[in-house]
Amino acid sequence: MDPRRRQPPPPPPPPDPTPDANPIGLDGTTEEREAPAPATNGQQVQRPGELQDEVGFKLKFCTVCASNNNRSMEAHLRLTTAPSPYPTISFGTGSLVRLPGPSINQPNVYNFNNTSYASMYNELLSKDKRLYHNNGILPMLERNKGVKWGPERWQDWRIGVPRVGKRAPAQPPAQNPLDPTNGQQQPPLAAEQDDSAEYKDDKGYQGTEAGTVDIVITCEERCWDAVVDDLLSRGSPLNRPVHVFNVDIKDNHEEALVGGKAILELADALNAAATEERDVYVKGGGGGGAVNGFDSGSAHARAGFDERVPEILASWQEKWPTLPALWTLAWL
Amino acid sequence: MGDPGSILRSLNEARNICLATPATYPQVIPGVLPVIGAQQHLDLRRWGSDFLAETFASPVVSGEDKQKLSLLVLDTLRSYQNRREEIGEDEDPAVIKSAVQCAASIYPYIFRHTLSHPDTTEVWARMASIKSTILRTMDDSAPGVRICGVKFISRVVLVQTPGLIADPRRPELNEISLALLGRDHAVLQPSQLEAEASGLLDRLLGVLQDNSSDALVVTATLNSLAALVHRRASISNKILMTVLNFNPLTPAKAGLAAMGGRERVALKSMTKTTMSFLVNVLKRNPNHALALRLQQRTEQLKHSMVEIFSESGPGKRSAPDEPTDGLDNNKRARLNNEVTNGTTAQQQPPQQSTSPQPLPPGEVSYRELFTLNPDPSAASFHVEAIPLHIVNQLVLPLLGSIDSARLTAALTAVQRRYLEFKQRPPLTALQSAMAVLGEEDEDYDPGTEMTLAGDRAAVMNGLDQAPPQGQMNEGPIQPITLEPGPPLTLQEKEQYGKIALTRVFETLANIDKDVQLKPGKKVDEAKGFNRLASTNMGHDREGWIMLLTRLATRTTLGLNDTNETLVKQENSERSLVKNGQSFTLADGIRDSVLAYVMDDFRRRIDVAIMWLNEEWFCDRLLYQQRNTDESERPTMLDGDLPNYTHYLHTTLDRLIPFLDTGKDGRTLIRFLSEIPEIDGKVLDKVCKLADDPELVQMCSQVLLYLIMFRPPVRSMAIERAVGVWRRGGDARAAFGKVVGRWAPEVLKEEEGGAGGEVKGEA
Repeated sequence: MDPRRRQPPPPPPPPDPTPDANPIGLDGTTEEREAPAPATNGQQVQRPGELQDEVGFKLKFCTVCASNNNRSMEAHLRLTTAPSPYPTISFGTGSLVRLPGPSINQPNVYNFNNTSYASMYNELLSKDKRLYHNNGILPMLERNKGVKWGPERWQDWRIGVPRVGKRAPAQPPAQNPLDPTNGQQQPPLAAEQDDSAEYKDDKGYQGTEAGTVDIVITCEERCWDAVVDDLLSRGSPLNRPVHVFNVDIKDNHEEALVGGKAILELADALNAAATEERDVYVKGGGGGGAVNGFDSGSAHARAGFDERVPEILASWQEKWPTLPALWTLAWL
Repeated sequence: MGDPGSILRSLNEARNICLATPATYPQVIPGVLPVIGAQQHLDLRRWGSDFLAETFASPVVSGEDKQKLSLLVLDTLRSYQNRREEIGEDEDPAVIKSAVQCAASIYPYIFRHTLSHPDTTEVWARMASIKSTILRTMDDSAPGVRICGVKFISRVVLVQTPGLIADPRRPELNEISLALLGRDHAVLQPSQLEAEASGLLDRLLGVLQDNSSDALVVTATLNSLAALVHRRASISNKILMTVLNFNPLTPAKAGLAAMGGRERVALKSMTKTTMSFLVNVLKRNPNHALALRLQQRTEQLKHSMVEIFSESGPGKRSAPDEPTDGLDNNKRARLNNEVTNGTTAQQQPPQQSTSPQPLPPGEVSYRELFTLNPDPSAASFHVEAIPLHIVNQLVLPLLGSIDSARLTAALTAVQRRYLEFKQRPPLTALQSAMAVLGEEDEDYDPGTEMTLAGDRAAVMNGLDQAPPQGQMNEGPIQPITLEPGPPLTLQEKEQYGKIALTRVFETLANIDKDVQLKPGKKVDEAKGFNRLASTNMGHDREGWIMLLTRLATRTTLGLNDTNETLVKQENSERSLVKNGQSFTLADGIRDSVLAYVMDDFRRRIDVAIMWLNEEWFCDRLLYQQRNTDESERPTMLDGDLPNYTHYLHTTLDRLIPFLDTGKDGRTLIRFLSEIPEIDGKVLDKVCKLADDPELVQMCSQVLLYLIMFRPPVRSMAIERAVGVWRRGGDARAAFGKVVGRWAPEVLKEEEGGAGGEVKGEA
C-alpha cells in the first residue's frame, strides 16, 4: 500500500498539564514523531541553548482545484505526508463536484460540503465497479477518504472561523452581527450526516485550527481567477496577507502526481525562506541590532520572505517549465 | 520569568480553548497580555502578536468584544512598535507584521470607541501614535511589514471616508466609517480625518502612479484597494482611474528577453492581478459608468500579455535582441523597405524594368505592348477592383510622385516596342502556331521519342511540366490557340444546351435565394451588360438575367448571316422550325425565362420587360440586316418582329389568367408601359379582362394609362375602351369616365341614340 495512504495517526492526546521534556510545537504538532529524523532537514536542527519549535516553523497551505478531488487532493496528500508535513486544507472552486461518468455528458455530480468521499466511493462502487476502477475514480476516492472527510467549496469557506470539533454542517456563528458571512451551508442530507466527521481527522489538521492560511495554491488558472476574485469580493476583513499561487496542472491522474510533487517542492522552498527570515532575527542575537543581522544573514536571507516569493517562484518555474505559474499577494 | 517552553504550552492550551469557545476570548486576552509583552522572550512575543492578530481578525468574536478588548492591547502593540526606542533593539519583523495586522483590525473599533466616548482623548492618542509609527517606518521596513502597512492604510482610509448608513435606528449594525461622526466631536475632526484619509489614499495610489515594478507591493495594493472601491463611492472613481492608468507591462518595454525569471513572474502576476481587479469591479456592477473602459482595459491587458509572452514561453528564451535605435523588428523591417516617393520596394518595378523585355513573337495585344512589369501578379490585377473614391484619393499623390526620368524611359520602351512590331513581316498562320509551340520544338527529337515508349512518356512528362516554368521566367503570356474539338452531333448539341440551361438557371435560383437571405444588398453602380465584365459585380441577379436574355436573343443572330432568307423563314414560321428541330438553345432559354418570370410574376415582371426589350431590339437588328436599303421601321403587324410578337403574346396569355384584383393592376400597367411596342392584339387581350366583373376596374385603369401616357396606341386604346363600354354590363359604369373624357362624341352620339330609342319606345 502506498505509504502515503496509511491511516491518519490517532488524534493527539490532550496536552499534559505537567511540563514536558519535549515542548509541543507552536502549532501543536505532535503527530509526526515517527516521521524521518528531522536532522536531515537543516531548518529543523535544534541548537542547544536556543528554544526552537520541535518541527520548526510551518507555513499553512491551502490547495485548490475545480472539484477538490484530483489535483488539490493529490497536493493535499503530498503536503501532509512529506518528511516535514505542512498544515494543509483544500477546496474546490466549481459549483458542484463533478466526476467522470459513463460518458462525457453524463458526469456524476455531487454537492460540495455535505457529501463525503466515502459516500461517493460507495455509490460509484455499486454503480459500476469495473468502469470506475479502470478509470481511476475509485482509487482516487479511496485516496481522498484517507485525507479528509469530503470535498469543500472555496466560496463557502468561512475564512477565520476555527476549524475545530465537528465538521461541515457547522452552525453559522450567531454571536457576531457584523460577521459578513452568510448562512451558506445548507443542512446536509440526513443520510450524509456523519457524527464521527471531525476536523481533526483531516490530514494536515495541526496548524489549521484557526481557519486561516498563509499560502493558497490553485491548480488551474480558472481556479486562481476564482480565488482572487472571491478574495477581492470578500473585502479582506482579516487584514491577513496570503500568497495565492497558480500551478497549471492538467486534470488527470498522472499530471496530478507530477503536479503534487512540484507543489511540494514549491512549498518546501517557500517554507525554507520563511524559516530563514525568522532565523535571521534569532541568529542576530534575538534582535541585537541590524548590524548583527546584516553580518550573519546571507544576502538572500536578509530579504524578507514575502519579498523573495517572486524569485522563489521563478527558480521553481525554471525547474518545472511545463507547469505555468502565477502569483499574487492577496488578503484574507 | 518561567520557562518559555512551558509558558508556550499553556498559551497554546488557552488558544485552543478560545478557538473551541470564542466566548472565552474576553477572559483569556487580559491574562495573556502580561506574558507576551515587550519584555518577554522572542517566541512569546511572536506567539503573542500572532494571537492578537488572529483574535481581532476572527469572525467569531463579536464586534462588541473586539471593541472592549482593543483598548487593552494598545499598549502591547505600541511596545512592539517602539522596541528600538524603549529597549534599544529592533523588533522581529514577524512580530511587527502581526502587530500591524492587528492594528489594522482594531483601528475601526478604537474609532468607534472614541466616537461614543468623546471624553477619552487618551485612547485615540495612543492609536494615533501607533498609526504614525507604522506610517513612518513602513517604507523602510522589510517588505512583509510594508505590505501589512499598505493594508493598514487602506483600512484607515476605509474608516475615515464616509460610508453608507444602512439603518440609522440600529447604529451597531452600521459599518464603521466617517459617516457616523458628528460635526461637533471633541476629539475627532471630520474634515481633518477626511483630509488625512485623502492623503493616505494618495500614498497608496502613488505605487500605481509610479508604475512600480515591485510586484509584491503592487499586488498587495491592488488587492487591498478592492474593498475601498466597493464600499466607498466617494473615492472609487479616483481609484479606478488610477488603476486604469496603471500599466503593469511597463517593465516589458525593453523586451521579455532582457528580463530574468523573477521579473517575468512579477510582470505576469501584476498584469493578471490588475485584470482580476478590473473584472471584479465590472462583475459587481456591470452598469458602472466606467464599465466600457474597464472592459477595454482588461482586453487590452490580455492581448498585450499574450503578445509579450508568446514571444518566448517561460521555458524557452529567444536570443537576446536589443534594439539599438528603440525600434522593434517589425518597424525596422518596414522602415528598411521605405523608398522615395512614398512607395515601398514591393510596389516599385524591379530593376530590370529599365530594359524592358522584347515583345513575344506573333500576335501582340495592347496589354502586352504596354506591360513593362514582368511580374505576372501585376498583369493579372484588375484596376477596377479599387473603389472609385479610393482611386480619386490615390491619383493626385501618384501623379505628383511620378519620376519623370522613369516615365520617359517607360515611354521610350513602349515606343521602341511599337516600332519593332511595325517592322515585323506579317506572320503566316503556320508561323503563329510555331511561335506558340516554338521553344519546345527545338528540343524535340522525333528519333529518340519514337524508339522507346518509356522514354517517350518521360519526355512527354517533361514537356507537360516545362511550360509553366518557362512562362514564369518569360513574363507576359503568349497567345495560345486551342485545337478545335470534333463537331457536335445534333443530339449532343441538344444535350449540352439543356445542361447549360439548367446550370445557368441554377445559378440564378441560388442568387435569388441569397437575395432573400440578405435583402439589404446594395445596388451596384454599374448597370447592364458591363457588370458581367468585371468578375465580382456581374454575379448578381440582374447581371445573370442580362446574360440570359442576351443568350436567348442573340445566339442565333449572325450565325445565319449567310442565308438571310432562312432566318426569315425560321423566325417567321416558328411551328415549322419547332417541328424540324426539337430543341434550340435560344428557345430553350426563352421558355425557361418565361417560366422563371411566371413563377413569381409580381416580382419578376422586370425580367420579362428586360427580355422583351432585348427581343424587340434584336428583331429590329435582324430586320435591318434583311432590308439594308429600306429605312422603313419594322412593325409588329407585318410580322417583322417575329420573336418579339410571339413572346409578347405568349407572356400575356400566360400572365392574364393569374391577374388578381389589388396590386396586380400596377404590374400589368408597368408591363404594358415599359415594353417597346404594343399592337391591337395585345389590347384585345387586355380588354378581355373586362369580362371578369372583378377585373373591370383594372382593365379600365390600364386602358386609361395607355391612353394618357402612350400616345402611339392612344387611338387604338380609345377604340377598345369604347368597344368595351358599348358592350355594356359592369363595364359600362367603369368605362363611362374614360369614354366621357377621351371620346365624348361617342357618348353624345350614344345618348342621342339612346334618347331616340327611348323616344321610340315611348
